[in-house]
Amino acid sequence: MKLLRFPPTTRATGATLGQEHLRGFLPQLSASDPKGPERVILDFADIEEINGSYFRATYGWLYDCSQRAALGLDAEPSSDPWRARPLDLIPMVMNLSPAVRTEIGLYLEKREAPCIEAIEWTEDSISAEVLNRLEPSLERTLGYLMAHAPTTAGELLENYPDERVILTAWNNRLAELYRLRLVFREKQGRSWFYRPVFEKLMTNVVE
Amino acid sequence: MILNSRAIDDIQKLFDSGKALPEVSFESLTLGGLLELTSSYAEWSRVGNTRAVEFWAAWARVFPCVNDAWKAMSNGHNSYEDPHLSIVPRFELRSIQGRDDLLKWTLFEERFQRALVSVGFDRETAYGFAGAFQEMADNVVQHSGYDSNGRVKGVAAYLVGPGMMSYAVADVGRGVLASLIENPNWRNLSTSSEALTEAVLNQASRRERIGDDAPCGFPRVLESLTNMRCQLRFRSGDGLLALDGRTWPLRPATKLVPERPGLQLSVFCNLHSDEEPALTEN
Repeated sequence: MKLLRFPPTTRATGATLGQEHLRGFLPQLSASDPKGPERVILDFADIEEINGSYFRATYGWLYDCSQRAALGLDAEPSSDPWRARPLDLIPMVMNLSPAVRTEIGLYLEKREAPCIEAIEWTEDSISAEVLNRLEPSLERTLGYLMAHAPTTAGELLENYPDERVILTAWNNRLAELYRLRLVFREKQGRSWFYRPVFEKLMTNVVE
Repeated sequence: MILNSRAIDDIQKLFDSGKALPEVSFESLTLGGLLELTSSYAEWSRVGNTRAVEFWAAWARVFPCVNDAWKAMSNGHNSYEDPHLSIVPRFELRSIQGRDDLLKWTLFEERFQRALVSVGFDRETAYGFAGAFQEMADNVVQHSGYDSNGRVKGVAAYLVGPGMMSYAVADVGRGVLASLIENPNWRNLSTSSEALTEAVLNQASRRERIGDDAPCGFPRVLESLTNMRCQLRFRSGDGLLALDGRTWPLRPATKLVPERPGLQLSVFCNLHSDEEPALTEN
């Protein structure tokens, strides 16, 4: 797990400033790790306000890079140092001021993507909230994983017959949660085992 | 003569056709006119258009800001000292540097916001305008391209008056079309007008993203002007996109104009009439 604390800034606006803030951290972020994707927490403790472009250039860029890794895309050669490239990490945010939280909410609403807020954390454990509502079936599936992780699509099919979906649908849900960077996955034998990227979900969606 | 953006295009056509210029009186200069004159001068001096350069020089003798704008764009020189915090300038012009001027830019944006409030715009509107202005200036750094010295060549300015405001941003970089076609999703674009329409109205960007993206940049400009009496002009290459916000929704119109490098945009808003803020000789 890595904690990236942004420098003290009253009002962090614009993509250029966002890139400057992120630039110093990039050497720490490796393209891949045999142990699996690394959780990276962006700490906004010293920032009072942001705008959408700043958030897109920081968290948004890392999220794009993270999704490219999840999709197994190759890095494309480019002279643009800020062209998104596969980075096997799970970005999260932390210590949001009310103004920062509002701006992130606006950004996520228009992008229709979730974002994980780390509420408490240690080296081994993160308690989190998921900002922005997920589609209901994904929200329920994430809740089931909190209760039974690590688990497979087959086990979910067996444990939750009331969902009335077939195995393929469970696999699709889990694949989507993986793409959204909300779950880890690990192959054991012929099965993929999934677990959430945080140890505790502060807002329980399913008991 | 009121030198505004449209007048620059008309004058360019006269130069291109070899016709004589009409007798000119230097009445006033809008921000859009100032920055399009600056961008035109970059091209005129490059190609050695002596008549055009003399035209620019004549305006520079009457309006010192014309020379200031050129110095800001061409070599990053800012003629204006950053004012004391208690001062709220009615007009400011600044070079858009690369990554080494971000703090001063934040203060510049804040002064614009305070200036807007001082002339009658409410705080929320002022915040929206200043934020959109900052996005447009940042776009120059992000997308216009760097010269051989690793610098962007851009300039931004604002001007306020009672119940009215104007801001303008200009660069002489690669232009919107060349920028957008870096993205495989936009490689089918073939004209600057198409590129402007996609960038301004449909969030096209040179950077690929997975899935939908949150609108920043140009959409922010449009959002900030919702239901305001405003007019917007975006010019790149031989394309012009004009948006008339005197009635809502905005009505876009595209047009072919004389070729010019880079991107120039200007926005003005008047709470009471269609008058565009302008600089006068004094």
